Amino acid sequence: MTYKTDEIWEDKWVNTTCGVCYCGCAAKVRVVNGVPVKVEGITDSTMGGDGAGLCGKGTAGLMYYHDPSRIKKPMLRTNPEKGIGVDPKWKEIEWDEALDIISTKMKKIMDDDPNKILFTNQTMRASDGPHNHPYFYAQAFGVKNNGNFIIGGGSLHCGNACHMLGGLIHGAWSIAPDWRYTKYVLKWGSSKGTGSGHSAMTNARLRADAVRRGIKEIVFDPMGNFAGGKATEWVAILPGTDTAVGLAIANYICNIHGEMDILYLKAKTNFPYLIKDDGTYARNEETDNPLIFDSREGKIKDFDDKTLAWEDCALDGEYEYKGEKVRPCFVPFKEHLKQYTIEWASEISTVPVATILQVCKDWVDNAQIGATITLEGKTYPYRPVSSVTFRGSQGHSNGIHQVAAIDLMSQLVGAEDVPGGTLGWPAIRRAYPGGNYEQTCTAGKDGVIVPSVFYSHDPWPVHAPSLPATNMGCVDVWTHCTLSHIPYVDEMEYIHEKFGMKSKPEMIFGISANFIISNSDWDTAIKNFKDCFVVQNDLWINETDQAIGDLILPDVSYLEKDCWSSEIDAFFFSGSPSHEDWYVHMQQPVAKPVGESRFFMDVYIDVANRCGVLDKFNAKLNDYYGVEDPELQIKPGEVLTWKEIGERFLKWVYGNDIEKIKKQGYATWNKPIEDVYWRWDIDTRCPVYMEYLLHDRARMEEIFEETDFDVEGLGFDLDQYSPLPSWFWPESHKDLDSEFDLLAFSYRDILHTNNTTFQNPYIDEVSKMCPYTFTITLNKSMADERRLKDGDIIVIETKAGVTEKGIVKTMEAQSPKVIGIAGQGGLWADGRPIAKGKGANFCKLLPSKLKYFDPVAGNMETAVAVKIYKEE
Amino acid sequence: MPRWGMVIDVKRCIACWGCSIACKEEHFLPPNVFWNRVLIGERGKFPSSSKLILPILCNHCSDAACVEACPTGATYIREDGIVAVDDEKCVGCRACLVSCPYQQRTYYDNEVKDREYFPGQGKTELELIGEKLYPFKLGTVIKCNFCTERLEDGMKKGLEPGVDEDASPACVNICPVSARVFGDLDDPNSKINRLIMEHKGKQLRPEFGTEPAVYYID
Repeated sequence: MTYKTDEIWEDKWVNTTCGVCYCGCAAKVRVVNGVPVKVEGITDSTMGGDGAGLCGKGTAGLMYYHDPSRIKKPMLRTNPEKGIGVDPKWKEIEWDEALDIISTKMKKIMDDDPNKILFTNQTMRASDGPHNHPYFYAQAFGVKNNGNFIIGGGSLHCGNACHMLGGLIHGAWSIAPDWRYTKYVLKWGSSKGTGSGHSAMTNARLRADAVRRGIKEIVFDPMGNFAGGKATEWVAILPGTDTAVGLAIANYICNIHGEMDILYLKAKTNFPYLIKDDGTYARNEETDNPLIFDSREGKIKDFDDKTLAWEDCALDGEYEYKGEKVRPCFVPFKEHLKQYTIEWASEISTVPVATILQVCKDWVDNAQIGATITLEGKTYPYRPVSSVTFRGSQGHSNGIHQVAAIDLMSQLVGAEDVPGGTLGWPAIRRAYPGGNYEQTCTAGKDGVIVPSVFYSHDPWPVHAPSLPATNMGCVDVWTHCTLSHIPYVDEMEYIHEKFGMKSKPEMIFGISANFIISNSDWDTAIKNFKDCFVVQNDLWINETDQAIGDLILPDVSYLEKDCWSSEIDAFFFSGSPSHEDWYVHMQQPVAKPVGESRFFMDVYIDVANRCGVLDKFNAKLNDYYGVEDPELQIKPGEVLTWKEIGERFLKWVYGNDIEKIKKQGYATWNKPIEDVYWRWDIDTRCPVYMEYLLHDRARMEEIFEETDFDVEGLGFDLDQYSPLPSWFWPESHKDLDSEFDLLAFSYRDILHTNNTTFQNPYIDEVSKMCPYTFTITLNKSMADERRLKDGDIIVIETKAGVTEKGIVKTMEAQSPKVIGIAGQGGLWADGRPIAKGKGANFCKLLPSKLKYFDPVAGNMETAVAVKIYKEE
Repeated sequence: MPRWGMVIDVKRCIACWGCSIACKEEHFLPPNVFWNRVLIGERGKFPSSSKLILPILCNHCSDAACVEACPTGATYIREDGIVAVDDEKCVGCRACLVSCPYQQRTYYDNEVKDREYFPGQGKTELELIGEKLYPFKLGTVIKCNFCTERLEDGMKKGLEPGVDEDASPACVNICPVSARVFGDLDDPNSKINRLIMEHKGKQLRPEFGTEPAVYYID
């Protein structure tokens, strides 16, 4: 083989950021004669570590540029009829006409009520990043809250409960084990370190080293595939029953074993806070502070009283405050756990008693309560156990209790944000030396942490539910939803009417989201969105565009994008949870935009300018980055491209090093160890006893009464507004009977980012090499009993009569009571021929009734009772 | 002269297929041609079953069945242990395809050459430039070459295979979990020999007696 060099006039590598999923790994691209031909990791970047690699789908990202199915010009629907199977009769139009249509419509709606415009965002698209800016773009139009973002919306892809408690416990969007120092990891419905979740490959690299070091990793999961298949031990569990096992472990630690990190509980949780008989905090009337009994002085004090030593915070006893009986909330908490025995948990979850007991023992043994470790001259408590969850286990109608129970065992042994424990990543974002833009968390009301940067709204302080609802998501009422589920709920119109939501959506302006087929029941999604004028920036005409899209604008892929901003703000998607240097990578264009495609941020700017709100958006940008230098601020009347804005803001963020950083495509700087293990340095307390839910419950009850809301008819379970992590049956289990006797669940496949990756031919080829990606998995014995075998075509049917077909693949490593479907196949858009017809669609099986959503955090119940039969 | 070999740490591997795809990009391989695959299977019965992950590529055997089977001497073992195909000598008889116990060879003919990544939509710029940058000869057999060009170009620049990216195989570089290690099997102090010793590295199907240069550790 020889290279034919005579025809080559250009052969270079360009450093950029991978855009195939939200993790944004360091990537460099080889460009020959203007054609991107290869993607690799960046060797010198901290992000990739010594290996500096990329996963398969990241490597395959090249094909986004080369895909001939990409739209090259704005596409306008000419057929007014909408729906699946209806030809939109697309017509290519010029950009000017497209932008004129959009801005004319928007201006008209804005004069009436800007909340009638839905701005969508999507973290898992082919044209990834920037992540945060679309939120305040919407605000520039006058949109309130985050309720108009219909993204995943509490769905299959969202981590509402994880993010809520991630924020309240760790001040962070997400959590990960401290791979470098941990010894024992419990993973619950999560593939952290084995290919999914935030900073996926960073975690995978750190985990690989940990595994070689000899850690034990126990994975509770309905299937032993990506996470379970790599575990020291895979434990089959029924979807949505993790709470039961978690509570049983907590009960063991608290009431049977009895050894806990008492100083941690006294100093770092709200367990010493005194509560009244009704469960709410006793508060100092003057300061409104919760109170703690000082056992040394025998006095009740404000929780933040400087004379109150941590070790003197009482965790037990009964006291009197202003004539009322009060006690530390740890007392009833501990008592409450007693009902959750290991035998009981085993029956619910199908996890054997002996397995749970062994995990209990291993957990407390490995926690090494009392041990310390000295790192970089600083001594920390050493708790090398970590319990982490993500999308899988929290995606249930009992999601908030799932996450709370999984976190509880870490609380009891003090394994939070200390070496070896569970880390939020990161709670802090330090400024580049000589530059600006630093985000640090603070201690808020009641001593709870307020995160430095959060994706949508701050989880603390909690906003009281209020009326009227002002947006489609009704986040005024559902205040804990990171992203609201209401836009997908079948009863949306009833809810809007009851809660006085007058801003009936008229227009959607968004970024390559495929929300019609990738959330839940397709018919409900179409019903809720079809009357809107739908504009999307997209690479292809996807299923949502084909079903209800009106105007589709050709977006650039990440390979053509000049996006300086991707990770500066969204550091929780890409950063290292470990003690490794800070790093931020930039997206630099590798090739010229395909056809007439334009980066959506530039389209946003153009539209804002035409609608007369660009100055407002620019002011928000100045404010967001805290740009104080008048030379660098965007001034009123200025119209800059996203790249031009970057020229200024990067100077602000990186100071004099900007040229060097632009040249190498990324910045990296020292992360002090205190930024990783901050738990004992930042004076905050974890609200493990979820007292705020009692107040929310009271207010929700008032709202329901005031509006004559059919709580019972809609199956809204107010009991979940409980301060104590408790067991609630997931809705899917309640639907099980002798006919609908299996639970269908989905999982994230390492090869796929929602459904965008289904259109990538490299990924398509290797997906076929994986026996599970495009098939429906059944436990082998269960399949035998039903006379099903590999290759059979089966029909899955739900109680609502929704059906989906797929190819059977049997496997041993799967619970016999479930069926598994990866990703989001079953695609049919004509605009994505590689994706068309591949795999099976899980999302359509999920019922969209309100009762299938977690009443607190808004998570969708992502398991569903089904029956299966062979296709005739 | 070194004898190049590879260790694949299956414990680290998470089956992301980065190796498969990076290899395709490195060599501009046509659709459905793989020089690196990851096989997925299972071992044991529920509930104590476990997942099997097996990344495979040409084993660059020192007693290679393909070399024995080749009637023209086109397939040969280089001094550095790499099993190579001289496409000038290959007559396309495909005896090697049949003889390779690891199924690592592909016959490159018009049917393979004409395949499109986006079927029916024509070849992309990537495919067209690939045919110029990395041409295959019609009617010959193609296979993994341990990225010979990278190794040779890198060594000319004074770089060390297995250490420096520009002198190492693409599948080694891309691996996000550093599951692949490349190096000299004849050097007792090389990292791969240390890993093989420490973790009792195993060759794939040693009973074939082909003496693979690829070892697996778990």
